[in-house]
Amino acid sequence: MSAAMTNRDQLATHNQNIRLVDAQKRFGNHLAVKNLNLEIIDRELLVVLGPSGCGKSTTLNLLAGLERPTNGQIYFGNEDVTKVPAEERNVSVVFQSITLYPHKNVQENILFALKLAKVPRDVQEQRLRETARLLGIDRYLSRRIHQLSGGERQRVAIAKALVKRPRLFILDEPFSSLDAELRRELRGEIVRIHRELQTTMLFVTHDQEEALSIADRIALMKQGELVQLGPALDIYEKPATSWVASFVGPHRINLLDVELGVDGDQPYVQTPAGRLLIERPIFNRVQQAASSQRVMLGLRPEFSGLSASATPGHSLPVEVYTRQHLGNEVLYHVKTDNITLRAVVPATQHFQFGDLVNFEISWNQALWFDSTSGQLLHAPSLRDGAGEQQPKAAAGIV
Amino acid sequence: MRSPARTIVIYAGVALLVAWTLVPIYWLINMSLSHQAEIVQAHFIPDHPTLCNYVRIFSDTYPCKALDGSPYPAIGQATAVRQGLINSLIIAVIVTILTMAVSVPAAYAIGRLTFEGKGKLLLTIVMSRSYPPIAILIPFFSMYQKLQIQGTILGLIIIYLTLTIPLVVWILSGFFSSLPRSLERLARVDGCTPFQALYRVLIRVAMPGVTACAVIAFLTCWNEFTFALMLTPGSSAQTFPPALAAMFTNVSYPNENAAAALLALIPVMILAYLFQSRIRGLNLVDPL
Repeated sequence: MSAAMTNRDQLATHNQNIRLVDAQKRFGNHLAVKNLNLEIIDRELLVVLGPSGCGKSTTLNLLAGLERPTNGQIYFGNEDVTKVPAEERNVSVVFQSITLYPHKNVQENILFALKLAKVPRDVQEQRLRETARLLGIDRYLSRRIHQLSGGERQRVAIAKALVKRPRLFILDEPFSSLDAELRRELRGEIVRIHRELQTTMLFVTHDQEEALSIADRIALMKQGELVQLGPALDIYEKPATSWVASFVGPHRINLLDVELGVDGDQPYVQTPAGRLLIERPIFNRVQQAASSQRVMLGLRPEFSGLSASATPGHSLPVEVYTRQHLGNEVLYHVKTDNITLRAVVPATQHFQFGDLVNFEISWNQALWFDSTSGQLLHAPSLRDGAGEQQPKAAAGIV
Repeated sequence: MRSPARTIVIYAGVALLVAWTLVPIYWLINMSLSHQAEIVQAHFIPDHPTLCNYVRIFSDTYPCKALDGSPYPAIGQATAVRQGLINSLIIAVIVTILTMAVSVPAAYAIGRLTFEGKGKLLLTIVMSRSYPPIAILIPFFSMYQKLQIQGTILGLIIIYLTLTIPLVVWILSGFFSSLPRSLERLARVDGCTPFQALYRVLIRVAMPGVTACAVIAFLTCWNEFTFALMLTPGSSAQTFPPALAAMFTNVSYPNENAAAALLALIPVMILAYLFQSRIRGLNLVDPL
């Protein structure tokens, strides 16, 4: 409690947070950003995540001053910067496509902003040395841009962004054109740099794996609106809607339209593939939260299993449709007459195409959503309680 | 692997193209360095190479001797040649500067900004190059008579701008629009005002295109013949191409004519040599 107090006091006296207040951006008839309220806490690494066209790029343009909001305000600390143009905001951006000036060499690129700002030469040199060392690019300061590999270019771009000590450092899908290994390496660099420099960072991506792997917090956007904001793991464990659940996670969640019912004393869930028996406490909680008997059941593949032997009422009979090897695990697609389900099982368990198997449900990890609005009705707490059932893939996410 | 036969075919094709382009020029050089007596029996290399053809087109008084020792008569074109070269140079330089000053901002606006009627504007500009320039000679002629700028350098500059600006705006706007969209945005977050983003970043990146366009504007003026022939003959504003044409009809010395024709090629060669990499770079869509 006292921690919360000091936190709030800090906010009041030393509010360096960056805020979008009712920010709206309209292009003709298209509302790219709808009344967005978002606070970026000072020195955090916030990831703005969403599918393409969700308004995340417009949001970054608003913050950088490259677009002016149609409505609403933007604050850097207590200062209203809504009408401050980009060149006066001290924001750095690493863009996705072009991140460097092709007509300048590495050093000229890095120092361009400082030269414009007429920073004294000795300060420029000192910052150049520090930043180059931080990014490990000391060796190629005099190279031309076209002589650099994709990864080296992004390192130079990050150096260029950091050398001016920005108030806010934005990265707009900076690694999406790089190969997977390089992407992972540079993500690690970003996290390290963030720890080291304590700069407020906004990382924009459509890749949920990338988001989960680096974020302090994630702001999830869809169609110009903020859908959910919170620590990375919260978004995975307690997705606000069924859409969030299917967007975030190592494998796409199984979503089933089901009906709740009670047979005698035994509560059950009627799925399109058969009836499943369920424990009373979970059933009660879901039923309390639900507005009707029809709900949506979310079963993450990483918490689902397959077995050869049936446990009547606790598994669904399915047929193996296809599989993908994921190293020590295998992702199976299995189907019944009317639905397809996904399950991730250890590689030690082996099933053949066409095998008749049983899809096992772990109720302790099941997510429940309203069948019409898609809002979360009930999510189990994964971190306390069901400790023995730690998600296989989620462990890799943290 | 490329087969030897294929390589031979490719090189043969290249050789043919080079010959196609360069043999007439080689012949021109050959003639310009030969004595008049030698062109009756053509030599691939002059037996008695001489610069006297070049001397004679610039000077009517310098004594040049033929192979048999007799002096060549004066050809009487020195003033027209000198004046023509100077006029051509002045006009081409001024027109190039004015063209670039107008076209770069215009092409930037058309290539990178969005505004009402942009497509129609570009179409109008391109359309002005769609008809043969000679078609507008008559209105220009009568206007120039009223304004009394017929036979003046100013008159030619104005009319040449109508040729170069549309062409350059057209080429450059395409070049600007092919540059990555993020360039100015990157410049803006680096601290450039919109205007600085244009001249400190965008134009620098577009330099191959800008240079190539300047060369095109220069050569358009340098090579222009029709308007110059109609508007300036006999005046002090006559440019080099009509002077050259006059030589061809007035002077019966092919060697002198060859030397004069070569003079017209010199600026073209210099520009091509200086800017070859940049002109080649014009087809560069991604400058990275």
